[in-house]
Amino acid sequence: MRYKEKLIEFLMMACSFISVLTTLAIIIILAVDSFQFFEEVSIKEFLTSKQWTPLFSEKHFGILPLLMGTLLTTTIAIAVAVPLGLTIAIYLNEYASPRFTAYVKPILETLAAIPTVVYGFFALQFVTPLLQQFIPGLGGFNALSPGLVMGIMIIPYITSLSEDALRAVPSSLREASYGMGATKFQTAFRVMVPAASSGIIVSIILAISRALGETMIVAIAAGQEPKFTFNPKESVETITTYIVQVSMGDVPQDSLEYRTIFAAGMTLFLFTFLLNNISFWMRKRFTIRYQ
Amino acid sequence: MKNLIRKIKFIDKTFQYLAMAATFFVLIVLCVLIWNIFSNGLLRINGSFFTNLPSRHAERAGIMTALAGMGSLLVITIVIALPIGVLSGVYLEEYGKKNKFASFIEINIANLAGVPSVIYGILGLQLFVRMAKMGNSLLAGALTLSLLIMPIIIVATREAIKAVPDSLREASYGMGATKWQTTSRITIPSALGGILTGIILAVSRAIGETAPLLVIGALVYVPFVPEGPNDQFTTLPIQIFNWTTRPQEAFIINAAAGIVVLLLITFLLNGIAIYIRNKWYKKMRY
Amino acid sequence: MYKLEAKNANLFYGDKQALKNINIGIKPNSVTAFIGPSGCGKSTLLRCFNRMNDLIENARVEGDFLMDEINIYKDINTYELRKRIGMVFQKPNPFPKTIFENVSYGLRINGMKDKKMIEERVVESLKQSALWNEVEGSLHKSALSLSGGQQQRICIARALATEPTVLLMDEPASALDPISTAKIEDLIYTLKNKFTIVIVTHNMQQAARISDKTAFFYLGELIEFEKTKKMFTNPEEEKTQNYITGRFG
Repeated sequence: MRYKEKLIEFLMMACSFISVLTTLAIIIILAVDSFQFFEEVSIKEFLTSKQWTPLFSEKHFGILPLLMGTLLTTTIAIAVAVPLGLTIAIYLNEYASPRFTAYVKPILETLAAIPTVVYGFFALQFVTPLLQQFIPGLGGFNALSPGLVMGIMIIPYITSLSEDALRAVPSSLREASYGMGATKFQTAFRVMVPAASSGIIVSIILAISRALGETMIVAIAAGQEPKFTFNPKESVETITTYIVQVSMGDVPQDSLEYRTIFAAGMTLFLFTFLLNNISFWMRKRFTIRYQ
Repeated sequence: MKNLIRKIKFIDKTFQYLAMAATFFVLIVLCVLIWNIFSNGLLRINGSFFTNLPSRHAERAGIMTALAGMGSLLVITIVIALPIGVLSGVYLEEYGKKNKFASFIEINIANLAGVPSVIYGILGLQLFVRMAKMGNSLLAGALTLSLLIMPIIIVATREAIKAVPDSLREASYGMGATKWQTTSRITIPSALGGILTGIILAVSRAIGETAPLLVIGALVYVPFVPEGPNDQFTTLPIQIFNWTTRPQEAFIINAAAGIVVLLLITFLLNGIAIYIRNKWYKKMRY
Repeated sequence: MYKLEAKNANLFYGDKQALKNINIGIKPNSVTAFIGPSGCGKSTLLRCFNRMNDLIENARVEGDFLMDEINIYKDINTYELRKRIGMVFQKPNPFPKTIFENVSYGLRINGMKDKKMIEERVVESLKQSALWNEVEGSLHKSALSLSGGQQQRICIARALATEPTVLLMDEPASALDPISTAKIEDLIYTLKNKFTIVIVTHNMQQAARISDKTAFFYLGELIEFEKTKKMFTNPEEEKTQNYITGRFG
């Protein structure tokens, strides 16, 4: 019997070890082909060249245009999601009736359940034509529209995590503030938000990480032109879109062009890895504080 | 003094209305999205839309191969990811809670949950499609999606196991049960509602995934229903992506119709998950 | 001869000593009450007899614990021991399963497969725990649908099903209303004929009502162990006197 118990425990441990292997596999696979990539392309060119044209006859391998595209759409998304998401979290937690919150929260969460290809369709077929009526010179593919839609998509990430953080603040703090004659607004912004700040920051970091890695919305609605621009009216290409574009094409394996997706993937992975670890570390710290 | 109070009150009220407006704005966007898609796509849906193969003629194109591919893909994914994910979650919460190995894995899983799905695509492309020589087959797709949804299942399992009161474990140990007897007969069954909710949400996530499948080379045009795990395949989101990027209006309507089907499946799964979760929470309250 | 015995027993939680040199012998077919202020070690000692303290990460036990002169920590495996010593907990903790599944749980994990035998044991245990009349027709209903007092008696039936000889009860009535408490106390009184019962209680009237002998603990030490009647009328120790007259605790 003891033998069987040990065997099962070992089996379960092996299962959880698969997650470690997955991480290792991701890092090794990205690193090996990136390494081969950098044998042919200098890191200096990769980091400083303002052109990314691996699929053209005159090849340039500067990641900056893809990085700009990624940062541009992410910035727009965050500019939408953070103020809206936080305001909603504060509203639901400090102002709205519990009944209202109970109805609205699940509806907001469906935003996170909708597949991203649907958002891509919405951005391309609805939001872009709508924006074109107000913004002259807005292209059919542009960074603005997918950025905005992505912002809507990540609102629930910010709202639900921030709301958890706000709810974790002991209500005695809120009562103390009311007791001194503060309004709800003053209580929310001078007491509750500062007390919940680490949780709110975690939610924002995770939302940024989510936006950086988002693929389908930008692949559908932002175009596939790597441009070194921060103009939201123009079409851009993100790192994620480029990876999809290459893997859908007929690029021969073991070619330099093929390896570009690993170098691009490595760049993206490093960004999200860093953000995820920061948020993990912060979350660990603030949950301990409230226990 | 009076002015100051008036000003403070004014700010308070203004924020309240702004915040309410923000909340309704987001809800309205959601409504517009759903209305936009349903008004474009709903009328396109008929019996043959489900039974037709993809076609160059929009009005004859259907989603049969996409649905069949998606169904097979999900079945294989669940068969792979479910036992591994649940057992990992149980191990981390019930067995290795305090050792270093477990806390190392915890950071690992938190990280994996945040890796962009397109990176999983690269992993699948290199590991399964090329190194394991599976090609762009259903199996390669399912293995890739399994790795992608595993963290979701693990986290959900842990949460559910954590919610089982210690008194139940004590009762079982007190009767002379071993650790595995207690885990398999008491803890896991008591946590089943929560675990199931997590699995359904993970499946719902897998249904919507497009990017990693595109990266591993899932085809956008598959005129046949896959018959085995080594066959090539397409899925509904990929079919939608393909139609969305066509210039012709008729294909856009096809895309909208495909989205209607995809959304209905997603909402149905999420509804079931919420229903099970609520029922389970009630049962778990002692 | 003692049914249960502790010799020079010490228990540590990390650096903190929770039991200090305990020596106690419990006679078969008797009810022994452990009393004392919370944190005095009474529950800790109870849990030493079926090694439930093993589940606590940093708990360390010294000394000898015997059941029928067998060393509990050396000569018998934990699972076997716990089958022979039933335990009932402070809060009713039936499994979220049917009444039948709850009571038959101990038999099933012992590998009993014979359906008829299982059924017989379940019925007998429910009769022993004075619950049979109340649940006869609803064995396949969820145990959670019962009242708190019934749930606790399900837990007693569950503990009796594996035919233990000792029953450890850790404040079994503290979460129950007075009527349910009275039923549990009656039950304890009848069970005494077949079992050796040790009960931890914070209710001194309860100890006085149901136990043959009472042990008073204070700060991890066994202060006094006497016939209940003597303990409550004429205790040897001043600390015991102070506690039972309500001067502290």
